[in-house]
Amino acid sequence: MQGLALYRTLDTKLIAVVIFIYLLATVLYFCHIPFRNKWLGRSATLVTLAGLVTETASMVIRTVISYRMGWGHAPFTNLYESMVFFSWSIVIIYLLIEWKYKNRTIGAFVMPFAFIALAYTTIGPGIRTQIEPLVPALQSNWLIAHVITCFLGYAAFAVSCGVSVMYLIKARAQERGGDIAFLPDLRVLDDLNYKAVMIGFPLLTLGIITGAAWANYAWGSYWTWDPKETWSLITWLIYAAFLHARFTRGWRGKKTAVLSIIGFTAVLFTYLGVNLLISGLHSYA
Amino acid sequence: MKKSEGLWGRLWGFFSSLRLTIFLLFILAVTSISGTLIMQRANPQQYVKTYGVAGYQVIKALGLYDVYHSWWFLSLLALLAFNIVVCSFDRFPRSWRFVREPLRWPARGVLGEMKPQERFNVALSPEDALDKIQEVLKDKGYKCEKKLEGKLGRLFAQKGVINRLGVYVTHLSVLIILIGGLIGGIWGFSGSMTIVEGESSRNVTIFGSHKVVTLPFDVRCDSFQVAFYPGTMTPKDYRSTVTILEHGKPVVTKDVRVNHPLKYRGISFYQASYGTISNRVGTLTLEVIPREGGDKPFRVEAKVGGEVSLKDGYRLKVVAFFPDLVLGKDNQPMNRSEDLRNPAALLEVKKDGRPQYRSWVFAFFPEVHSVKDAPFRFRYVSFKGLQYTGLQVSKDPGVWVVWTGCTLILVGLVISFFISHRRIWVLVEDKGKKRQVQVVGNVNRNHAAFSQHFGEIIKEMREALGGSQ
Repeated sequence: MQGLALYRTLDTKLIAVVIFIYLLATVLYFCHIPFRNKWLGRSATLVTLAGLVTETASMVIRTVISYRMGWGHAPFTNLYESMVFFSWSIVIIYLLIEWKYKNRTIGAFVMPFAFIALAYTTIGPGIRTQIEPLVPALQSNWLIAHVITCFLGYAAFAVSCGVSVMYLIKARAQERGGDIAFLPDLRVLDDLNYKAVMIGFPLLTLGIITGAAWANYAWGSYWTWDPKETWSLITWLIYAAFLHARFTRGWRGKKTAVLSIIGFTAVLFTYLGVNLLISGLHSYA
Repeated sequence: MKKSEGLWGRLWGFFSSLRLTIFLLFILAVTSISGTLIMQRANPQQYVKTYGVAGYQVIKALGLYDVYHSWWFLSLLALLAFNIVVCSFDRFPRSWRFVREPLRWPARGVLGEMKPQERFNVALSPEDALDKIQEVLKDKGYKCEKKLEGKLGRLFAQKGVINRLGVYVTHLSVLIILIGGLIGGIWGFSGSMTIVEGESSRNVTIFGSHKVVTLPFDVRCDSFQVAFYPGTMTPKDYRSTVTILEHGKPVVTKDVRVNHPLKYRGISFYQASYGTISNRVGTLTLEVIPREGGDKPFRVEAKVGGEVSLKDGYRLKVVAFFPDLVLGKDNQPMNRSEDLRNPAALLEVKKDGRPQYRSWVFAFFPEVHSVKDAPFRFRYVSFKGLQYTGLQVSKDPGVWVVWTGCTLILVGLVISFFISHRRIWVLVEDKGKKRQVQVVGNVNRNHAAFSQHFGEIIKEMREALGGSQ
């Protein structure tokens, strides 16, 4: 019986480990900046990878447990599960960018988001870690498509926000006549910000569309101006403004960095603020 | 964008400006927030209670009780749509020229100033060299055209020209979605209907008003059921068995569940709510215990007022049911409430149509039996009162327009974000002693990736041409 009890909460125990792994990764990425040590950088990446693998294992185990309990659903159904998936998405998107652009400095500004998201699951108010059966409204295949697209989009926006913070820090230092040499070139940061938004925007669009399709099946209307829907639209409008400003009006640098941070604030409000402050159809997560 | 004079020109300039677009996107984002903070479509009393009389006056004047359908919000949307249309008309001709009449043979002076470019010498004749170069570019997915002008061979290659049109696909699809919403708003409706089990209705009460839409057919609720996950209070399934009747004849019967609506003649029915209308009528489930030494106990279900057959010609009639039994004046049984707080039923056992004996069953006092040594004793198992189901009913002829727009917007975004228009011009000139190749590239976005790609192409070309001299 004891073995069974352990097995039933194995997934959350693994997440507790992953929290520390991501904290360690954040510290390593920060240490890597001033020391520029190759081995420090590599170990930061390896630690992050180990965290990602453990987190993936936790999600798989949670799904298996849910099937064993006879409920059988993917782990995307409450605030706790969405937070875990959010941090997972951030890490995946970040690792892809690190791999593609061979730059580890960004890690120090993006990994904290993954760490905070996971740490929040242990301290946040009203977060239940138990596996629960799905209420009828959530019993839909649209759930998986909707959650995956939304959170990958959110993760891309988290990256763009992290990069924008780096941009503003470096730009301010340069304005004062100095420089922060270990931060990547302003042009690189500006470009990364734009690229992350270009990944996030289609994903957010798809997330809104899958949500609308699902709402149409479950509630009989694809759009009801529910607060969550409205806030996702607000987020979408802000990033649409970002793209137009950047594409055609030629906004660069500081202006787009600030826009990106405003956009991510809207993302966070869509995801958490609406649930904490306003009630609506998404009250479960 | 040409700057034309006069009122018309200035108007055109205003409505085709991106400054207006960005302004509208921001204003829409900011004003949308208000509707998530202020209650929408509530009663005037609720506003007065929350914001005071003065607050309610402001809310009423600005239409803040229904922000997303207020005249100013819809005007902003209309303005955005108009802005999109004007911008598209303003810019489309230029983009279309890239598709219809690409710049195949620009002047050499123009080419000389473009970047990236590369020059190298070859041994082959211009004609042969261009053949080899064309193969390389075709392998990379480029569409090529060649021409020879005496000693000068020219080649033009491009791919991803569709990227020039992606932005129009995206913007057109935003318009399509808005039109779809408009169609739904004008010719669609959304409301609810409440049907008691066993009854039928054709009236739909429209949300946010007292208007009633009459359907051209009847909807009957055959039964309603809630299922729970074993051992929990979490509902697993809400299910209404619904029959559509045309001129009183059943045509379709289907279980309507959450996430599984019923669609009939363009009208959709969704499981939305439920409740118990009365606990005096409904279905009683009993355990029947035959006299000692007889058969094993078994269960029967009977409607209040109805009969069910037991055994050996005996029948059971549920004479009356009391959800919350109390004794009134003169010890008359009566109901204290409609809730199942003290359920009791008066039963009558018959044989060959003649009443034999009457017996009470009490849910909370199973050992009380009014008749001793009867052929059957009874135990209360459960009671399901008469339920009603609440169905959301909606008709939205614009929904397919919206889905078309949604599909197109994704196509448009992929075309504009992940494809770039790449062009390559090649000149091979026979200068007598040496033959020189000049390769020029151009891309409309993502220059860093293109210059890497360009480098690879040059490398492959030189390999294909057998090294340079």
